[in-house]
Amino acid sequence: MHWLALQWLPDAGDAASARAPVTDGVPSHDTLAWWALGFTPHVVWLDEALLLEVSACERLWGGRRVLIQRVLQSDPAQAGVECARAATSLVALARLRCQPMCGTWVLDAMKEKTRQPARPMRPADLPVHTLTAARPHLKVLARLGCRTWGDVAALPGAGLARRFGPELGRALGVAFGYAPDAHAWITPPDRFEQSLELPERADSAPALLWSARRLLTALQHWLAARQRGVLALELAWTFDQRRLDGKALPPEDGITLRTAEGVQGMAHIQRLLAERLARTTLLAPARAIRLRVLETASWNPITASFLPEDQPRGDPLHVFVERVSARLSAGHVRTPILRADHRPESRQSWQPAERVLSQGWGRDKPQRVSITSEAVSPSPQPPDRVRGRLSPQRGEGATPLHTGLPDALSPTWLLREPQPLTVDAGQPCHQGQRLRLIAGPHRLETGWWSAALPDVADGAAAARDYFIAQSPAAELLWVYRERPTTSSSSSPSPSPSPHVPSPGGGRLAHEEPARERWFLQGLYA
Amino acid sequence: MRALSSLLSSIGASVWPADELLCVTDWVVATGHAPLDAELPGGGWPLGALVELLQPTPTAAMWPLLLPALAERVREPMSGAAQRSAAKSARVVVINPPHEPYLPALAAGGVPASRLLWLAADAPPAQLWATEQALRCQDVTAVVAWLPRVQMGELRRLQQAAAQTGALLFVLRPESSAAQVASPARVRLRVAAEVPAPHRPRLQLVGEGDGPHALSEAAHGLPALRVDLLKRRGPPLQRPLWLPVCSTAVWAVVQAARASARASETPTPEVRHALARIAVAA
Repeated sequence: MHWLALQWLPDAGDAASARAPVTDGVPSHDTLAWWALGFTPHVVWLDEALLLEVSACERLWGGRRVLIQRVLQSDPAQAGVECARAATSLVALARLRCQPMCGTWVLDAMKEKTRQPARPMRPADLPVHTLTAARPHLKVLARLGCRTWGDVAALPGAGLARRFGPELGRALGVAFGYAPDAHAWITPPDRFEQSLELPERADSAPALLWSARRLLTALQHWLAARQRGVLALELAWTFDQRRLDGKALPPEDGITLRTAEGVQGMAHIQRLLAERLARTTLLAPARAIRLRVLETASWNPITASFLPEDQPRGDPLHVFVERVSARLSAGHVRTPILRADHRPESRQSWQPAERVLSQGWGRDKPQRVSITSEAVSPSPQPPDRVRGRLSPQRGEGATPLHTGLPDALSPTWLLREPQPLTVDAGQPCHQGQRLRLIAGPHRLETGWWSAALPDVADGAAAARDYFIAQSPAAELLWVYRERPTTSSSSSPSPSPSPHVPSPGGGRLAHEEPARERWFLQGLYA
Repeated sequence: MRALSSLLSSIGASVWPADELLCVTDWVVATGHAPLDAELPGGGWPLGALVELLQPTPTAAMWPLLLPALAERVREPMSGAAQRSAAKSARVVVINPPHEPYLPALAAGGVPASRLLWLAADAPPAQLWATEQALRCQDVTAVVAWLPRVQMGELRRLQQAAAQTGALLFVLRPESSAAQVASPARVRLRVAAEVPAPHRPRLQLVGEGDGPHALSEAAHGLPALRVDLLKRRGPPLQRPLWLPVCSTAVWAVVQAARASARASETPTPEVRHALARIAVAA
């Protein structure tokens, strides 16, 4: 057994960070304990000190010296921390309490480890006041002439128990190693929820970020201790006022962040949070913030490799997509959905890439744990009886569905709204110049059910003849001529302005009974 | 002089005489067009560097030029465990395109729909930022960005970002504003669809290649993609390159229709009728 006793000095923290406010000094007890769980599973708070039992994990960290050095250097408080060590917890604590006298390491504000010159005190030489169990009886013990633990241990055991109660003798037994050193080890809770009182009222959302960072640090330690990665979290803030401008305010407001793959590093979460907060307005000045984890996944760190070409260069895909979606809004980062349809405009549609990411996107799905019952996972659309047949196909396996026209003959640009073309002497014109029809027609007649099923059909009926046309500007265009159909006498068009301004329309009217309308729908470019 | 030539031969490939093409063997991806490969240093588009394309209009033809390389980048089997998994999720990012890319055509060209990401950004700073973020992503292997108002310093920044991950970066700019300005791009091209003038010897330069796109007699009057290599690591190329303006299949249909139209020499309605049969057959 080997114990480290750590103590953070609030005054040392203040002195070290003169520019930072006091609240940034020492993190909460929970945060410190979760941080220590990153080194050893045996962590316990004993009075004012955090005790780590490290005998089982010394080899993992490369020896006792290295471990102590790591512990001191990764100190989350970034302030003065005192450390003492011993074979039992009580001796370590006692050595910490009389640290100016015995051998301890002190990490000063300059991050330099200085070793106190004196040798560690023997347990029997430790002063009585450093034993917690002896503190109520200090005066009596002093009158008995007991100044050290050895003096007390030399008293007859039965009389000691009769005079001072059983605790003192039991504590001495534990301290000298005669009795088991049992503790209720700290375990991280199943749910992460921490609140923080803001040092001053925050009037704008970005001002919350600085305080939220503190909670994110705690979250990082919690995740590391539980071997999880965060998928969704909620940052909420409570308002200072109940009413503002005569309107009642809700007790709190907040934002929810989601990421596609569990992360432990807080850099990505912090960037997402900054982007979201930058676009959020506070209803009223905020007084406190609360961070809650909604969903976590098991954490799979990247397999380390010594080969330089195996090192990933750059961010993973989900980090990129989420970061860009947060800045440009999710609708501006799109991935396609293919549908089985003959109409080009219905064959493909686009959806936010973030949504695809959260549904897996061709990767192994990690096992997810939803921590709160109200955490809503983005669910796909409910299966519809009719739409089931027209359901979008997505993912790696989605191949373009065969729809008659060979895909290789389709244009590379699609005009979402087909552009009406003017007609001159029966020939379509683009930008005032006549088009030369090169190949075609490719006839299409579909969507006839849209009149009967207006709620399921996602497009109008289409009866078209497609041509490849060449413009005088040497462009290859994909145009179509609308045909009057038997099913719909007034042929509907996807264009918002179906009336074509055609100069020669009146002349055409007597040539053809139903006036032809031409549209440009694609570019071979 | 003899001493210089002997020195050059002894040093070998470590010296690049500026009047020859720079000989690099790695970090390129084949363009898929043999005439263009022959004129580019290393025989392909450089990876991790900026390739700048100047267009007369944003919608001018470019997909036939870029698609083979994009398809190569998407399916590229790479070595190393991490990169193999990266190849599985390789993405092509299209930033600020003038229209919606039509997926069946791209899939036929070798870029499956699931590999495509479309970033729409209106403001020039947002476009630049998105481009840079895309280049910094390990899974993005190719970026095609329309940046009409990009500045010189910003292009250099993009080039540095591309060099970090080795992505294939195409920046498309309007010819009117960019042609006279210096650029840090490794390769600079002007791309435009034109109808080549008939009976000119330069047609034969490409026509001597026996690919399906070789310009033949039947192709007169049909557009082709004129590519002017404005900048490369090597001597400037005076003559333009003529490349296919559309995919092989479309080209076959267009040529066949053209040939039959020429053969029949009939008025327009019957031409249409004759073409219909050809299109169905194709």
